Amino acid sequence: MHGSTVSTGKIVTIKPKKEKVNRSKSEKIIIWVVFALLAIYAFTLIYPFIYLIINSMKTIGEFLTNPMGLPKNFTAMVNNYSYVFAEYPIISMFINSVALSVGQTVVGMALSCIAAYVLAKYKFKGNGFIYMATIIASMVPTVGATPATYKLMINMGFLKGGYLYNYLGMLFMIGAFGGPFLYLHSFFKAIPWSYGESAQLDGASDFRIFVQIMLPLAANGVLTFTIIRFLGSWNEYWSAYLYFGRFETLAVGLNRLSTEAASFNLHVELFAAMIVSIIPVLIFYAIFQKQLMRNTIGGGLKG
Amino acid sequence: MEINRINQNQVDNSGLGSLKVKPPRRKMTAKTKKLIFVWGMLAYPILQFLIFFVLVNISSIIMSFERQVIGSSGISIKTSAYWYQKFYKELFITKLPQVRNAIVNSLFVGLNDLILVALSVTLAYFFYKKMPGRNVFRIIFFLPSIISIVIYTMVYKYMFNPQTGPVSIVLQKIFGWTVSSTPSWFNDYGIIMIMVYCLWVGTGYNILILGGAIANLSEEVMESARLDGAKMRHELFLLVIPMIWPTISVSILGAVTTMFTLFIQVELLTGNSAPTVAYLINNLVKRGKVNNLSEGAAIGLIFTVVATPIIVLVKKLLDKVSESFGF
Repeated sequence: MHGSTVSTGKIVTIKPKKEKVNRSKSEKIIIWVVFALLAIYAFTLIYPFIYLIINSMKTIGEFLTNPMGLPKNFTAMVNNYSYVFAEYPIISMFINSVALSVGQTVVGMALSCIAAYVLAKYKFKGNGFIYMATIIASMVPTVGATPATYKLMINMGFLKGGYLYNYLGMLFMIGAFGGPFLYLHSFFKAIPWSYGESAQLDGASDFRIFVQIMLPLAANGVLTFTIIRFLGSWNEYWSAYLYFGRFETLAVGLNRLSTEAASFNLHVELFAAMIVSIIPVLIFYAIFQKQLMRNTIGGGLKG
Repeated sequence: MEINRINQNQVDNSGLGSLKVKPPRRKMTAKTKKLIFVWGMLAYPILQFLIFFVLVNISSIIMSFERQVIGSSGISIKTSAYWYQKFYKELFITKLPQVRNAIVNSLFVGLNDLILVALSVTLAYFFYKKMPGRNVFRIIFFLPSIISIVIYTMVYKYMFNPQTGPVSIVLQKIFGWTVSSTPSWFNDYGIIMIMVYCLWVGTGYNILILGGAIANLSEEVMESARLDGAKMRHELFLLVIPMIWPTISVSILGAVTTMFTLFIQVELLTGNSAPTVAYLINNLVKRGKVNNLSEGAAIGLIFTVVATPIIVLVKKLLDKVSESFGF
């Protein structure tokens, strides 16, 4: 604590006086130039969505002749958005995306937490070996693994069965040691064992210590990775296409629709479908934005 | 209690008249309980790892030597030194131009990612200065991380559409192009379009991550440097970069790895007109035939053998730089 003094039993915090730093004129200009660049860059990131929203309210004729203009009326908007819900399997794509994202997030986080906790908190023969193996595995690029994984999934029959079988196959592919494992390992390592020890003296089992004491203590990190994991699964394209393609998720379905849109001039309907698919993510982002920012960008992911 | 443990049926008939006493059930020790807990919890994660990492990689090696052959007795899978010779020869002589093109594109992608890291470090430094609108920038820069790559690649393609894309329309006005004379961006300049896309969506997120690391630096050190007359370039190169080196080195390592793994952007933006190594492999999987899978595994194996030592070497170099910065 900077500048704390003790006087008559009270702690008085005095903020250190900041000396004003005078920037040279050229430095001030550089900062404003960078500000302008960042503002333009930020604009390029959101403009495409403004373009999508505006053009999703037009007829195809309006869009092709005047893509930069504003819509003439709202009839086309109603038609385009109704078309999305009537003609596109957007609801089933949405349900598939939710089911897959929730399942993969729950399985992935549960496995990562369990493995990270056990390896961080228990000394046993093989602990170091398993930990090293996970680090080595994370360094080996998975360039060539897809053909063998695909063949394995075929051989195990996961690509032939019904929905449940395909779904279980997708969950079976989720492992403990990828993604957040190393971060969670350091989170659990940083939690003092004394909490567990006192619970142990009170007769708590190892499992109970994990679930009721250690997990809540690591909740902040776990929640952040759960959000990141969920968003990753929600937006995932390739494995959903390859191993779950018969039951389209939003990402897979929209990509197919974009090919169809190009062939049948259904661009404005596609824009409406894209907007509909983004809305849940934006709501999710609005709810968890602070948590995400604080823990990913604020340096909370330091291992 | 003792009486209860006597089993009436176990009366010794040896004539000695003694009774066999069932030993008291041993209580499970804390150590055994702990071991059961540890291995019980790790059993599934380890099994999954063995299947999807160890088995898959072994199977990858075997697959890369396999070839489906249609003979008089039907279709059979051959694995022999002959196929090794023929298959690898075929791959690197007949298909050499395609593979070479993919290697060159992958190198461009890696170089682009290194540029991305350098650009992000510089912008993150300025971002860290109390820049107006910083909170709004943060929210916007994070968008490509939460919105699907499928959506972002689609809007990116629409932006460059020769007839309706705002970027093409603006360029047509500047250079006097017509719709038909506007370049077919994703066919003619495939790899450049992929590189621009990666810079576009990646810079913001990298600024945030690196900016977060800069924000964690000791303000006192920065203040005293400024009071000692350090200019912005001194601050950036002599203070900020050495102090956030661990974060930068993670980004550089990520950039090198991306060189060997980037394909989804290629799949969604350009397809065959600008393939990377990873795209070649995944495209073969997409076609799904046995020989395609084997061919994909062969290319994958070769590039895993090439990529792993490069990644390890880069990691070691980065660690050495970290050590020189006192980490």
